[in-house]
Parts: sequence; C-alpha cells; structure tokens
Amino acid sequence: MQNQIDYRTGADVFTNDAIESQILFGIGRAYGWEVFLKKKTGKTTGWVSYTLAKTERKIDGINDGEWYNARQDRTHDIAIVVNHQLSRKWNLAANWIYYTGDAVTYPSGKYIIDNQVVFYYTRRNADRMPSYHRLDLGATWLLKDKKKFRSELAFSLFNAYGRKTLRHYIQAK
Amino acid sequence: MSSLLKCIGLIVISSLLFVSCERVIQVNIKDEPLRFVVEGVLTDDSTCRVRLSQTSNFYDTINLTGINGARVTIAEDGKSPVLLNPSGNRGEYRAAFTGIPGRTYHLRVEYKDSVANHVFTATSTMPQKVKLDSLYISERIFLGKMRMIAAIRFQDPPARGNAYRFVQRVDGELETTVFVTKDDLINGRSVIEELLIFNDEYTLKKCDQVDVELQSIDQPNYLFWYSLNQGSLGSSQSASPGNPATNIKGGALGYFSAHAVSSMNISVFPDSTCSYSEENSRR
Repeated sequence: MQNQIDYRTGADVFTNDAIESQILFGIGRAYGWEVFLKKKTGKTTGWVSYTLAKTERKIDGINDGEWYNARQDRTHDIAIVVNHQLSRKWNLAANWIYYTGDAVTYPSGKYIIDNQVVFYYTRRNADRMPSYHRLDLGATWLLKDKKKFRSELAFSLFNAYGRKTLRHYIQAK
Repeated sequence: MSSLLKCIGLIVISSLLFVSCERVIQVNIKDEPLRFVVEGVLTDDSTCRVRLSQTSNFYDTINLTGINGARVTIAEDGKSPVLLNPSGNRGEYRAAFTGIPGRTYHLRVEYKDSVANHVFTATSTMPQKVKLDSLYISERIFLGKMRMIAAIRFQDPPARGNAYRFVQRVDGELETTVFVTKDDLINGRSVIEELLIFNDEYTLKKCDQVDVELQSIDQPNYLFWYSLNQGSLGSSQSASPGNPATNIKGGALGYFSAHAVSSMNISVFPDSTCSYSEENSRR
C-alpha cells in the first residue's frame, strides 16, 4: 500500500493549524486469513466469524524506518451471533464480539533531564491496549403480526457481563 | 407535564451516556535494556557541566546516582580538549571552562563497563548572546483564577535562526516547565514572553524571588527541548510519544548544549512583610 500516513514522533496535533507538518508518508502492508460459518436453517440460526490479520507500516523517521504495527492493527477479531426462535411469540438473540486491543506505544523506562522525569520509548505501537470483548443479549416479543402491520417489544441488554472498556491511560501522579 | 418528563428522560439518558470511571491500575510494561543519558551544558558564564546517567525500568525507583568513572572532555574546534573532573558522586563532571559565542564545541564521553567501551560524542555551536531587556510580574486570569506569572522582554536579532530556552527558578527552586521558542514568527522584533505554567494551582506569590534565565540555544537543542516537551513527558495530548531528538552520537539519550545565558531576578511585590534569608537577599 502506498501513501500511508502517520504522525511523526512527538507530533503536535493539539493546537496546530499546519497539521501537514506533523505527518510523515510511507508504505504499508496488510495480510490475514478469514473464516465465516453460517447456519441458516432450523430454530437456531447464526454465524461465527474469525479474522487473523496483520497491518503494518514502514515510514522513514518513525521506528528507525522499520516495519511497525499500524494503530488499527487487530490480530484477532471474533464475532459469534446466535438467534433462537423459542416460540411463535418469543425470539432470543445473543451476540459476542472480541478483538485485540489497539496497538499503542508505552514507555519502556524513564530518566532524568534537568530534574524532570522523562519517559524512555523504544518501538512505535509495540504494545497493546487490553482486548475488547462484550456479550449482548436480546429478546423480542411479537405482539401483533397483521398483513400491513407488525408490532414487537424488544428487550436488549448490552455488555451483559459488564466488561469495563478502557478508553485511555493517564499517568497516575 | 410531558415536556418535563421528556426533559427528565433526556437527562437520565444523557447521564448514562457519560458514565465512566477511573481506576489506578498497573500496566504491564516490558523491561528493555537500559540506555545511557548524557546532559552536557557549556555556557558563556563559566558553567561547564556534564552529567552521565542511565535510564531506569519503568516501575523501578528512578536512578539518581548517575555514573561515575567516565572520562569526559570538551574541546573548542581546533583546540586541545579540556578534561572535566568528577564533582560529587552523582555522575557529574565539571571544569573551569567558559564558552565563547560563535564558537563550536565538541563533547566526548568515554565509559568502560563490563559490556563494552562506550563512546558518546556531540557537537554544539554557541549562538550569539541575546540579552534580557526586562523581567516583570504579569497578572493574568487563567482557568478562572488570577495568577501572577513572570514575563520577560528581549530583542531578537535581525538575522534568522535564533532559538531560545527560558528557565525559571522560584526561591532557587527550578521550575520544570519547558519554555522554548525560535524566531520564525518573531524575527527581529522586541519580544514579550509570558512564562505561563499550565497547572491548576500554579501562581507566583508575593515575596517570591524569581530568577529567569534566557538561553540562546542552537537549532539541534531547540529541537531537543521542543520534542521532549511534545512527546516524552507522558502528556495525554501526545499523539505519538517518542524520545526527544538528540544531538548525542553513539546511542545515548540527552543533549549537549553550548549556549549563551542572560539572567535577571525580581522579587514579587516586595514590602516590609517579606523576610528573605541572608542568602536570598545577597542575590
């Protein structure tokens, strides 16, 4: 892939009008393997999908010019969807998704410059945020099913087991 | 009634949208081989100081001891090197040596440990001296509060390519905020720089003794401080953290800066209620 873009090291994007001065261009590559299984018939239907993938970039001036994980690189991506027709009136559904956390840059150490603690970094995007996963449950109650009109009452529970999703880390004082 | 219900409903829904929590956690950070850190300073007012230290692992207590036993020299272009002698036992080396604006200096640090003979070198050219014209206390409303901050005025020379670092000390204590600027937008002008510190609590207080040093630094050192400030202090605004751009060759972190300094000091609205220690009042 040509014309891949990433922030230069230490980019200032907070209050910068000239954003083009903060990015660098290079090449990228992405490869992977996917499988998708679907059950269409019977009372219980659904599908399972799995993706194994690697997305990398190579940009002069970042990571010593060596290949590194793109921020969007997602090693595993799993989705399981199950739908069950319990009775004529009730339909149950469940949906579980899992994916590898974003590639991020953690410090590897620290040192002192002019009485101030400074973080020491090694490679770009070599670390991972925690993986993301979530179970959603749903139940649909069919109220009326007329020729021109259909009404249902749907109940959903998102993130059924209360997985806490991490938005970002800040350094504890 | 229904509009009230709607309103309450909206509040309930939107409060659900913004629920989040904060928790102190321990992130799993892999230890990496330690790196050497060189901090070298040569000024035109007889400071000649080099510190050699090493990085620490992220969760270890930071190593303050420094590295003793290195051979450190600084040489003016075309002249024989001056040896810096160990000063104390925190990895600091000093010499009675004064830089001259316009001249180029070469730093060489040699350190032999069980692994290898490490050699770090760097070159810095001391820019022409730019003097502080004035230092005064400015009152600003920042984040809803009135604050007293130090402000300076200086004259940027007509030629392009000047860079500055401002260092503030309050009652002798170094304030660590990094203030650097270069003359891209201020070339040849009389410049006012307010040393605004992005901290909720920060304000100077009546009677404080404020010391501001203007350093005329070269471009590689401007880049060092600028990139350190942008990407190496763990700020949550940093899009792409990384090590600052160093002018040290041989694999060490840090900087070597030959710079001209000009400093001024001031007491914040002093009156008879201020009590200064003898050491302070002598300044």
